Amino acid sequence: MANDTSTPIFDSEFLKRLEYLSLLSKRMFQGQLLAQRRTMQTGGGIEFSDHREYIHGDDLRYLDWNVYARHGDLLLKRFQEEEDLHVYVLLDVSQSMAVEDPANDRQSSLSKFTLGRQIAAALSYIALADLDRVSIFAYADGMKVSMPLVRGKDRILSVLRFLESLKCQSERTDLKRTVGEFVSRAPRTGLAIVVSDLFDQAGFRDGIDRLRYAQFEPHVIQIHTPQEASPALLGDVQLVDCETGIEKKVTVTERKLKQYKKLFDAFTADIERYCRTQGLAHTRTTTDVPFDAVLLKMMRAAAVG
Amino acid sequence: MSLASPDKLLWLLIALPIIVFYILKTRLRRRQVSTLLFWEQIFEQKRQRSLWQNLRHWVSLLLQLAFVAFVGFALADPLWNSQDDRGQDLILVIDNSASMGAVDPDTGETRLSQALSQASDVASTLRNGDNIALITAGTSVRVVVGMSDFAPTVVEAIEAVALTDGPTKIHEAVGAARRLASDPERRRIVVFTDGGVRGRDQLSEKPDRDEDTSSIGRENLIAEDVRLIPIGTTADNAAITTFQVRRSTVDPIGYSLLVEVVNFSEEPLETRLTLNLDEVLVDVIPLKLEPGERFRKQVDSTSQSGGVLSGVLKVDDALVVDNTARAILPDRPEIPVHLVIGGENESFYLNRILESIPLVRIVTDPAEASLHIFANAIPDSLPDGPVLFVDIPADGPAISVNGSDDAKQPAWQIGPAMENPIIAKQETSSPLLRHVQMQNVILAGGRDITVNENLGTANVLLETASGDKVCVSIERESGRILLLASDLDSSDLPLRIAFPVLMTNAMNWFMRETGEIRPALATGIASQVPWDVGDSEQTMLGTMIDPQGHSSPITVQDGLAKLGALPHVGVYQLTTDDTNAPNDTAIEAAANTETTGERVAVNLTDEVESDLRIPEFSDASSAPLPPASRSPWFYLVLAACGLVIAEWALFQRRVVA
Repeated sequence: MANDTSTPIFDSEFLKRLEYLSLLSKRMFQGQLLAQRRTMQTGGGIEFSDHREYIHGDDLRYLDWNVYARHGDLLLKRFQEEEDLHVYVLLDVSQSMAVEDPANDRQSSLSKFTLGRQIAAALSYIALADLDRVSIFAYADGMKVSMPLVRGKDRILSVLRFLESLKCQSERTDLKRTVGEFVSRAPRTGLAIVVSDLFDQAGFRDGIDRLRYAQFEPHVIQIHTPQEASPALLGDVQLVDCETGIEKKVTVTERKLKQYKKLFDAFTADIERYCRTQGLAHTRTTTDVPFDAVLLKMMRAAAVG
Repeated sequence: MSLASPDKLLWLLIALPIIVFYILKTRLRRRQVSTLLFWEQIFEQKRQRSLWQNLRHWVSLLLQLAFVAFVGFALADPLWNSQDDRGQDLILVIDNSASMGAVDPDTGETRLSQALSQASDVASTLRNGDNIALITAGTSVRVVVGMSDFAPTVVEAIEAVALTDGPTKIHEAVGAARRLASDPERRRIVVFTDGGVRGRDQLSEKPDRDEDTSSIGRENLIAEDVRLIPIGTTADNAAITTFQVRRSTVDPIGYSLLVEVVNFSEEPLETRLTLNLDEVLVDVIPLKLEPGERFRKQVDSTSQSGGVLSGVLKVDDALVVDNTARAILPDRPEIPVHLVIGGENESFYLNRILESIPLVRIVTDPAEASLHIFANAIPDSLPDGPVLFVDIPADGPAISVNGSDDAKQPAWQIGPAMENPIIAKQETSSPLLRHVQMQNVILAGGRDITVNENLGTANVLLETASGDKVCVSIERESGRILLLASDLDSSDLPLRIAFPVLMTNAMNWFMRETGEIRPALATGIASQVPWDVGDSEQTMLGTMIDPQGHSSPITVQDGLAKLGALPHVGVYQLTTDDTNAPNDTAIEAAANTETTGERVAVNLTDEVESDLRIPEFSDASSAPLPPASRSPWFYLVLAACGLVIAEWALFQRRVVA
C-alpha cells in the first residue's frame, strides 16, 4: 500500500528535478504561471488600470490632470494592485488513492497517492520559488489535516515533511464537504489545485462549483491507474470497494470489459467537458507517468492556453 | 436399448471427484478496486438475470457431469434396438457391373465409387461380436472376403473392388450371401446397386404372395434379410445392344453385320455410328432416335484380309463402355490345291466340287499347294501338310515304323472292293460330318481301310454294315489326312447334297477352320469357343490374354476353348504359348504369332446394363440398415465433445483468458 513510508518519496533526485522544473517554469511562462501573478484587485500599484469619476474625498494626487486640462472632466486614475498569490493544494487521501496496480510492479508504476504527493510537492516548490504562499489540505470525506500557509523557498522541506507524513484514510470521499470546510478556513482566495482520482461517490462537481463560487481558481489534476482504465480482469471475481468495503460478485466477460471501458472513457470525457465548459484547467494522468512529465504537460497546456 | 459392456459403467464414478472438486472450487477470487461506480452500472443492467447468475455454476457442474455420463455410456457400448445382443452377420454385396461405371454428371464420380464410399461407411461401424463379408456382383459373383470379424480387412478390400464390364449378378450374389451366413436371424445383406437387373421396376413394389416372382428373382432381393441401397441417379444413355457378324449368304468372302442401337435417354438422340475395320473406315450410319427407339440394320460388306470390325457410337453419355462394340473377321486366304488324278478317270465331280468351293485354287506345282488331293492315285511318299485321298486304289505309301527307316510299313492297307457297301454308321461328333447325313448311302467302290498306327491317330468316320471302315480321318503331326474309299464317278455320292458339304467341311478341317467367322461374345457369360489347335481328344492348356494384357490359363478340349465369364469388353487373344510367361512376354508373343492364336471379341451388348434408370427400392419389407449408420457410442462421444466445447466456451474460457 502507499502508506508504506519505508521508501522515501522525496529523495535528492526528486529535489534536483524540482529545481529543474522551477527553472523551466520561469523560462517558459515568464511569470505567467503561479508567482508574480496580478490579482484582479485595484489598488496602489504602479501599472495603470482605468479611470473612474472623481468622488469627493478622493486623493487628489491620483486625479488625471491632463484629462481635466483638455476636457474639463474630473477623472481619477486607478492602478492595479500587485500582491503575491495564494496556492492551495487539496490532496485526496482517501483509501481509493492507495490502490496499486496489481498488474505492474512498483518500479514502473506508483500508487495514485504517491504520485499525487509528488505532484503536490512539485507545485508547492514552484510556487514557493516564485514567492507565492502555499498551503496544503489533505482530505477524504472531509478535511483531515492541513499545512498552514508558508512562503519562501526555504519552507519546501517542511512541505515535503508534511506530505511524507500523510496517510490514506479509509473513509469515503466527499469533496463538497471538504470544500465547505476549506472555504471557511482559507484566509483569502487564490489558486485551488485539487489532486484526486475524482472517484467521489457523491460527485466532485459540487465541490468544484463551490470553490468557483468562493472566488477560487480551481485546477483539477485527475490521477488514475492504467488498470482502472482497462482492467485485466476476467472470470468470476469478488470485487471489494476499498473505501466502503462493499463486495460484489461478478462474472467479468469480454463484453463486460468493453462496457467498463466505455463507461470509464465516458467518465473522463465528462470531466474534461465540464472543466472546459467552466474554463477550468484540467490535467489527467496515469500512475505510470512520472510527476515531472505531468508538470511539463501542465506547463505546455498553460502556455498554449 | 441395451448395453454391450455394462461393466464399463463403473467409469461413471468419475463424477464423484468432479462434484467434490467443484464444491471446493466455488471460492471466488477477491479483487480490491478503487470504486464500484462503473461495475455497479454494468451489472445493474443485468440484474434481471440474477437467477442465471445463481444457477450458472450448477449448469457448469451439470455439463461436466453430463460429459462424464456420455463418455461412460459410450464405453458401455449401447446397442440400438435393431442390433440384437447376439451380433449380426453382415454381408456387403457391391454391384460392380458395367452400369456402375456410369458417371454422375453432377459429381463427376462413378456409381461404383459412390457405392464403395457408402460400403466403407457401413463396414466401419462393425461392433464386437459382428461378422462381415464382402461379395461383388458384377460379371460373376465373387466372395472377396469371407466371414470375418475384422472390419479393416473388408474396408481395405472394398477400396480394391474394381469395375467390370459385365452384367449385374445381384440375384446370384444374394444367394451366395445366404449360403455364406446360414443363420437367418443374424444375417443382414446390404446390397449397393443401381438396380440394373431385369424387372427393375418391380423392385419398388412389395411382392404379392400370389404373384409368381421366380422369373425375375425378385423374392431374392425383396426380403427381410436384404437391404437394397440405391446408388446413383437416373442418367441418359445410348448403347450398341447388338453387334454380330456372320458369313454373307451371297458372297463367299463377304460378311453380314447385324447392328442394333437403342436410345435409353428421355431425350431424342441424333448421332452417328462409325464402322471401322482395323482403323479403316468402313461405313458411317447417321442415327436419329426418339426416346426408347431402337435402330437395327444389316450391313453387308466384303473383306478377305479380315481384322477387328468395330462400331463406335459418337455420343457423350454417362456410360462409355456400351458405345463401342467389336467383332472379329477372320482372314480368308486362298487355298491352293494340287490335284492328282490317277488312271483315265477325269474325276469330273471332284473337279466341279473343288471349283465350287470359294477360295480354292487348283495349282499344278505341288510346292505351291497347301492341300494335296489324290484321286485314284497313291504317291510314293506322303507329302507334308493336309492330304485328301479319294477312290483309294491300293495301300498307302510306306512309312517308317518307330522312326526307323529300315522297317517300313504301308501307311494304310486297303481291303477288297465290296458290293453295295451301305453306310450304316457315321461319326456324328466329327466336324467333317457336320450337317452331313450319309447313313444308308451306297458308297460305290468302297473298300475297308486299315490305318497304320504309326501314321497318326485315326478316326473312323463312315462304317458299313459289315464293319468296314470306308472313310477315315487321321491326325498326324505334319498334316491331317482324310481317306475316302469311294469311286466318285460310279457312286451316287457326288449327286447328293451331302457331298459338297462334306468337301467344304473337309476344307475347313484341313485348314483348321481359319476362315470361320466366330460370333462376338458378351461379358459375364461363360462360353466355349471353337479352337482347333490339335488333337481334339486331348485336353490342352492355352493362354488367354485379356484387353488389358493380363494372361490367364484356359483349357481346350474337343476343339473347344472353355472361357469363363469374361469381365471386360475388348479383343481377347487365345494362344498356345507358355502360360507361365510374364504378361508382357505373352502379349508380345501373341502379337508376333497371330496365326497361331485365335481372337475373340467381347462386347457388353446388354440392354439391362445400358439402361441407366434407377428404380425406387421398396423399404416396406426390406431389412433395416444393419448398423443404423453409426453405433450409439459414436454419437455419445460426439455429444460429449460438444459438451466440452460448450462448457469451455461458457465458463472456462474466461478463466483461461
